[in-house]
Amino acid sequence: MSTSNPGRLDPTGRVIMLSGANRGIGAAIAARLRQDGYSVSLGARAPESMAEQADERCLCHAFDAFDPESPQAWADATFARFGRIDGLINNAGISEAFGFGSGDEAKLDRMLEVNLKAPYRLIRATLPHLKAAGSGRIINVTSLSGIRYKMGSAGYAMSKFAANGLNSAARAQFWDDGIRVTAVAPGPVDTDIITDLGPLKREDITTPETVADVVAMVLALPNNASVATVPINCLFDALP
Amino acid sequence: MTASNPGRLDPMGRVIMVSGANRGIGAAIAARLHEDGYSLSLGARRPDDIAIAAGDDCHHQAFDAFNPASPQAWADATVAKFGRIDGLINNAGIAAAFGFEDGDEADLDRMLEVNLKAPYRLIRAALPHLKAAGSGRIVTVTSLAGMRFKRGSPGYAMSKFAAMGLSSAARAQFWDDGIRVTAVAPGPVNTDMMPQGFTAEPATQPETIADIVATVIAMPNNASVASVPINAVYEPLP
Repeated sequence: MSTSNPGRLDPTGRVIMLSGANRGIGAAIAARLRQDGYSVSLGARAPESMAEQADERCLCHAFDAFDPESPQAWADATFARFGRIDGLINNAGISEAFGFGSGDEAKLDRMLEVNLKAPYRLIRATLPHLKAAGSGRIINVTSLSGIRYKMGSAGYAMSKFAANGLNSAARAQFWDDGIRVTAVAPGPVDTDIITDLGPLKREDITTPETVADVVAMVLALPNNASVATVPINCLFDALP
Repeated sequence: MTASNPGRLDPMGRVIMVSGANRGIGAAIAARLHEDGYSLSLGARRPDDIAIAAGDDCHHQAFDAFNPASPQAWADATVAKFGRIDGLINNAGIAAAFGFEDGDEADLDRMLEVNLKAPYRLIRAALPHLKAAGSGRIVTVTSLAGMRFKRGSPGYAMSKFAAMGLSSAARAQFWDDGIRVTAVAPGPVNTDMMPQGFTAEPATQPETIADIVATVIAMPNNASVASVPINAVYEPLP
């Protein structure tokens, strides 16, 4: 391992934006990244719920995934505060029932707005800074439901398949700018987005902290080692 | 995260076997796992070359991938020393030229022996102990060449595709025993096995592979990744 080709990026001074940082997977990622030494810009609809985390290495900012202006405002505030953006973690997501036999298209639209369009807009807003960084990182927290449908909301699956498409396209288009793009795709995670465990016990499902460990590992990979997708199985799946 | 559902396995007291631990990726994995606090059983053809000193938390074993009796002897020695086996890292591998229009089948057989059969035999030898552990782990270092052929040795690709099949089958068959199986599949890595024509810069560092292996091996039973393909250069798939 040489200094010009280190095996791991140094978190010190790197600035990471994280959406949906106030709870669930996002809160676990925020805690892990702070522990690793990153500077973080935490976005949530109600940033006051995170206010006690704010310090010189942590900006808490309002982010509303339903507001098309919000991504640019958040990116601008992050750059104004830290002078750089090295990574974006698109974590915020919603799930609603939407099937074939029944289903209100307003619900599908809401899922597409939060799970697809807001991540797209955040990528667009941060892109000049991620390019300037030389080793920009984008991590999209998608879902196994975005790789194969197994159960639950068909509309959720559609929105998460679309998010994996966003991931794949961004990975291809910005590779030569040093930006590395990864989808982290868990199954059920022990957060309050899960309201019905069905036959599963709590200890059967993945914890937010494990997802955070995976995100931290991916985020520190250098430009010469990138993983396109990390599907995380809590139950056996022949695919993926 | 609760006491009954921790987000990460505690390395303390866990015993991990690593093949090919004396150099390249294997040496980096051994160093990282040692730093994390695992007890290690390190196999190499020449164990004198292993950097980590043998002691209470590290066993050295002469492991010969060409000798069908060597895996069982190594597993037995590991259990004799530590009383348990929690994980197996099938890392040892070889590459040799073997194409369609030229190629000595002895070279193909050698690659199948080291890249496929020795990992199979090690799984078999460690299996009762991995089952007994309740959270056994098998990580097989395969290759992007085991997922798609791009260039290099077709025989190497065949042996690594076979190793991916081994990983996939073991993952399915031992899931209900609490064993989680992952293939870590790098492209060119900056070791002395790197094929000619690659310069150091677009190659992945052994230490990076070790970070990935360390993350995978600490994931609890309720979070498992089947394969981790690692791109040093852009590829649409995988």
